[in-house]
Amino acid sequence: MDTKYVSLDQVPINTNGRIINITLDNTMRKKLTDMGLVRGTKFKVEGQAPLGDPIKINLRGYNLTLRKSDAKNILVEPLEE
Amino acid sequence: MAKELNLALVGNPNCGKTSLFNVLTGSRQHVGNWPGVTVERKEGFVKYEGKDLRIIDLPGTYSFSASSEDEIIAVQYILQDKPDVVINVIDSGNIERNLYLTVQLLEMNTKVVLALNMIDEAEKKQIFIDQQKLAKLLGVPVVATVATKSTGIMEMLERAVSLEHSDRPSFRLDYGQPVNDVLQEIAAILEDLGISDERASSLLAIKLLENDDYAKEFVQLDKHDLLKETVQAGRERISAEIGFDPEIHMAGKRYEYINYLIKECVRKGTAQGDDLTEKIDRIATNKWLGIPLFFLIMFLLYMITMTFGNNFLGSYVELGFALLGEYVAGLLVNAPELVRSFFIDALIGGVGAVLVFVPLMFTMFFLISFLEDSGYMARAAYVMDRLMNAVGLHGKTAVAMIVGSGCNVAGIMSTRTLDTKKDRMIGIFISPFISCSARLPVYALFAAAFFGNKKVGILPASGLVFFSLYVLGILVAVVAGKVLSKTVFKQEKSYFVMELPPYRIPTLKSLFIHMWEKTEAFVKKAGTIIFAIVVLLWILSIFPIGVTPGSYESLLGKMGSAIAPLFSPAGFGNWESAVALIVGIGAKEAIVATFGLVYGAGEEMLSTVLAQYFTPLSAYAFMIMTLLYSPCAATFGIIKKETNSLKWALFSGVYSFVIGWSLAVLVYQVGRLFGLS
Repeated sequence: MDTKYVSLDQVPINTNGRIINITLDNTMRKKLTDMGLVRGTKFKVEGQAPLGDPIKINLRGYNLTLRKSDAKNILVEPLEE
Repeated sequence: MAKELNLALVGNPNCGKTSLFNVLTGSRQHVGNWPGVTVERKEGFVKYEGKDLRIIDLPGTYSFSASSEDEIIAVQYILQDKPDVVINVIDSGNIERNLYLTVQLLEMNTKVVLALNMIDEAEKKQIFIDQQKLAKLLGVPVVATVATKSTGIMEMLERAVSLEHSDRPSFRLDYGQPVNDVLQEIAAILEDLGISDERASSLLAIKLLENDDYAKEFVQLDKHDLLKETVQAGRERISAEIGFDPEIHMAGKRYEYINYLIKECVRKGTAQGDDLTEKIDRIATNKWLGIPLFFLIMFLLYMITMTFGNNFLGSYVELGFALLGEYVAGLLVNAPELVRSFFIDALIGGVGAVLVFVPLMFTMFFLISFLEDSGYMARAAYVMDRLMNAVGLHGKTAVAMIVGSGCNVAGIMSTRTLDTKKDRMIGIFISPFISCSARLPVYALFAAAFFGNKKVGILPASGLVFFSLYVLGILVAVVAGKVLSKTVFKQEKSYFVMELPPYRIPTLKSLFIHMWEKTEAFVKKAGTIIFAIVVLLWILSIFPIGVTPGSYESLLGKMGSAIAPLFSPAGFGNWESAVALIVGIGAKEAIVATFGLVYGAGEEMLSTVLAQYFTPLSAYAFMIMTLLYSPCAATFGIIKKETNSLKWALFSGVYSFVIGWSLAVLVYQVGRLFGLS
């Protein structure tokens, strides 16, 4: 069943998704939580910086950027739309 | 007289809080530091219907979870200084995430007025908020405002003032079981121990259960075994029953509540996002254009700062001080030489050394504030982060390094945009290695004297020398950054989690206020140190009384000859060079003038005279030393101010001296091995 989950850095641009789990250290997890990234939050990958990293996602009506090395530790479920 | 009412402004970054503060207080504001930390504290005063209001602008934060200096200040202020009313400023177009802070504020049981700011922008995005319903559900007054158009400000103040004598709200969020039980258990112990009253205990219980460092310190958790065990057992119980940590569960619950509020009170139209922002970003963060555009904008920033700020405006300041010097010289024509020199060289020279930076600062801070307030700076960091991260630096550090090539002081001040202490400190410590404009006269003098008419292939050697020094500065900065991040600041965390706010047109008023504030801070804090160093150098150059200032017999000359042997391995172990380097700590551009003084040669003769004391190789080693050794007085002053620590400033001075000396020696010795001279 876990096969439908991928890490956030693997989600293609213009794809929607839902946060499943964040496995980062406490500081980083707290920071992301404060920015609205919690279990179940829906998002859309909007783009990436010119050199491919960081990535830009849209959630709760605003744009958030984060590095791929951190996105690797965020498990998400890609959603069809 | 009635008691002064304290109103604190609280809100997320980019919510327009600063504009609101500026509209409220205008020029009746002042900036100070929060006790013990470097984050600035802004206060302003307003009279409203005969009442004196003190407005406190708290740092912009996304949360009160005590994970950064800014957040700790905000929490501390609300819990300990207890403002009478908190005005929670909301970016209406981004209300969902902004309400997270609101929920936390309500949990603190503070009196809150919700200011739905930039309501016009939200409506343009077809986001419509039912204010009455929101007020009813949250139990707090809600006011719509547009700070940049001064709309809704009076109503907001009226609501805030009317809360003065009302009861504090008693907001409780339902976290479900077993969390509610555990919270009650912890709160009961807090009250038994007499740590807090009923109202504060519910908040403290929440914070303790969330494993919040500030709360743990506040209640001195390590001293209370029962409390500590209860918190620990509660955390374990929740993790076991729910499946993940309490803080994750609780944040989730808060967002659940926010989702409910949004569903009830916010109606979204069919418009898709912010067209203008998307259009600009398609260019500004474009795969091919993003990075070139960044360099173009930085180049323009640099050029305008140097040509308009430094050369055009700055020339008036220099002229002013020259005229003042002449005028004072005329007044003191009959005074003893020492008195005259004191007034002209030490006093006017010292003040001049500070004020000569002001036009440059004004120009640069105006432009930087524009880039920040418009939203471009966040894009710059986004675009550059990959490149900078490859060497352990943060995207925003790229901006600091480029600004620093105009003036290191300015570069260091621009590191204020960095969020984490680690990135900020590294940005501060590597900025002095960037070739600033004050080093140019030194390069120009030596390059003309030793490499002037030589060519390497078809390229002029002097051009290559210039270029190599710029590159060397950047390389040393990058390597130093990497080393510092792996050693001194190994424990500190760096992360890149950043909001890309919508593009906005900044108001002239707020640009001027920012420009003024930052420049004023420079003059006040760094100015005293610059002035002190200039006066000290003057004293060293004229004593003992009767010597020619700066000559071999003066204290300065004696110091120079004492440390000169240190530079023999680098090829310039003469006392004149040592004196020039000491004076260069005052201001690097003074090195050229000092050579003129000690060799008794005018500018046109100086090249010829230098040829007797330097070889091309030792000249190049000297240029490397000039580039890298201890930062100038102004940079030193600003490092002390920005790190709030003399120790760190001294550290910067010493480690850069060691690096400069080592590289100068290395280049000279290796050059000799290869038979160069």
